[in-house]
Amino acid sequence: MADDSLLDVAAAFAVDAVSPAEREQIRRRRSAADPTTRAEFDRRVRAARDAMAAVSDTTAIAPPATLRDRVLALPDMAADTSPANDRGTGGVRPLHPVGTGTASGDDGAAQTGERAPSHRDADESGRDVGIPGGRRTPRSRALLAAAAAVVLVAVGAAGWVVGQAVSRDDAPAPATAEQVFTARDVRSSTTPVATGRITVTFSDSVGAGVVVMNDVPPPQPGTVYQMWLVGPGAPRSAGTMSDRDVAPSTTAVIPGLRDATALAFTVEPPGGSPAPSGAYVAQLPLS
Amino acid sequence: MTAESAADLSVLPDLLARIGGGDRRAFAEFYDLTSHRVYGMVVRVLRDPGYSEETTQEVYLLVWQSAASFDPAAGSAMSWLITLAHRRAVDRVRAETAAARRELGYGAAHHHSPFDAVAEAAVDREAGAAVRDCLDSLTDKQRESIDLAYYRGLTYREVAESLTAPLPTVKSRIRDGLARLAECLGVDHTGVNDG
Repeated sequence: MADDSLLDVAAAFAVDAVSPAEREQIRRRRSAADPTTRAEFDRRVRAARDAMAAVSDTTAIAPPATLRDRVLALPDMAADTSPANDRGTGGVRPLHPVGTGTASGDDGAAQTGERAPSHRDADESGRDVGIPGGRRTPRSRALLAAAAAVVLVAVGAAGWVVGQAVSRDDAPAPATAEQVFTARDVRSSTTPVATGRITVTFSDSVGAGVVVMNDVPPPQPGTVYQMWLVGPGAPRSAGTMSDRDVAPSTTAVIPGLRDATALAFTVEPPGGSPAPSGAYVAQLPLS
Repeated sequence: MTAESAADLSVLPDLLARIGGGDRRAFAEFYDLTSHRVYGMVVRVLRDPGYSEETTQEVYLLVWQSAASFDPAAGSAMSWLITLAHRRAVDRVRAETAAARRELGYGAAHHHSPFDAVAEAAVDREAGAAVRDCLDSLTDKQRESIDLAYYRGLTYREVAESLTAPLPTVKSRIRDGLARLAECLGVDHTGVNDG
């Protein structure tokens, strides 16, 4: 059955002139369409996108040189622990506490630019149209740089011991990390630990956080670090890591933040403990 | 800013393949060949240098992460990139303007058409001449609708509201305008019939 109305919106769809809900709806209709309609839809989408790609030549502006430095540093920042050419061979070990199934897929469609929309709050503070300069803090820019590194490291860091087996090819880590870093309510907190530093970047709307540890000394042999989500109830384990897991730079995605108000670290026997057995050696507020 | 030649752009698919394999040098090359296009478009949409830098950075992060998924058979590398970047920018501008748009109605009366600006900016850019000619071949109404959608991040429904024009009319303007532009630029991929 021909779906003329589907073809009618192909161009609008191609240039993102549809709402997220409508985008989904159009995608479904496209999938359900007959092959001829689908081919024509794809042709129109491609033509519209190629046209606007050509138009981008007329609006080109040289970006600041500092941006180049930051962009090109992204892979370098991950290089120590995550040679990019090892991508796909290292174990992605996102942490999945019991009871949180937050696999977010839909990132396989990058070719068409159809990524899962990032979480966005309905803008809570009544912002100006268009000229938001100055509201974004330098912190959040630095954060973004860290974010970039994080996501990269998350791909290859063979790090965290996971409570539940997580297949590496379902790749929830980059998707979740990306959601966190692009969330409207992204925040971070950081603390020095011995010779290094632990930073957690988190978003309440996404309900997840991303931990980055740089130059943190590994736990003593025979012990592990265990992370805890501290909140109103008993601390919930968010995973452990052994001395072998602590690279110069280590990253972990922590879904299921829920009502946690802090992320804390303890030293535990191998395998971790059901509850913290000692004092927190580090604690980062999540609020 | 010098225009890249077609020969330059022809290396993009190869660079993406290498980036997919973790080649940082290819990543740098890719950035150098494309960042002015990404950044310029993003600035048009976001109209804020700081936000635009952030978004551009996000875009290249996505490039680094997902270069391996680029399929040359499915479209050009530049189209893949600009599509990805535009989506990013639109997500951002919608988030930023959501509240204000609700309050102000985002009227078109106050709107300076970036497509006009496109034409102005393109005047002294020889490389943009062909594209500018093609933009000029659109009707004013088509340009206006595409402009509101593409550079303001409006949905076509919002474009219709903003122009107080009927929805089907706006849908047609966007559809026909982009079809015309694609045809003029020789990127309409017909060979099949054009419905």
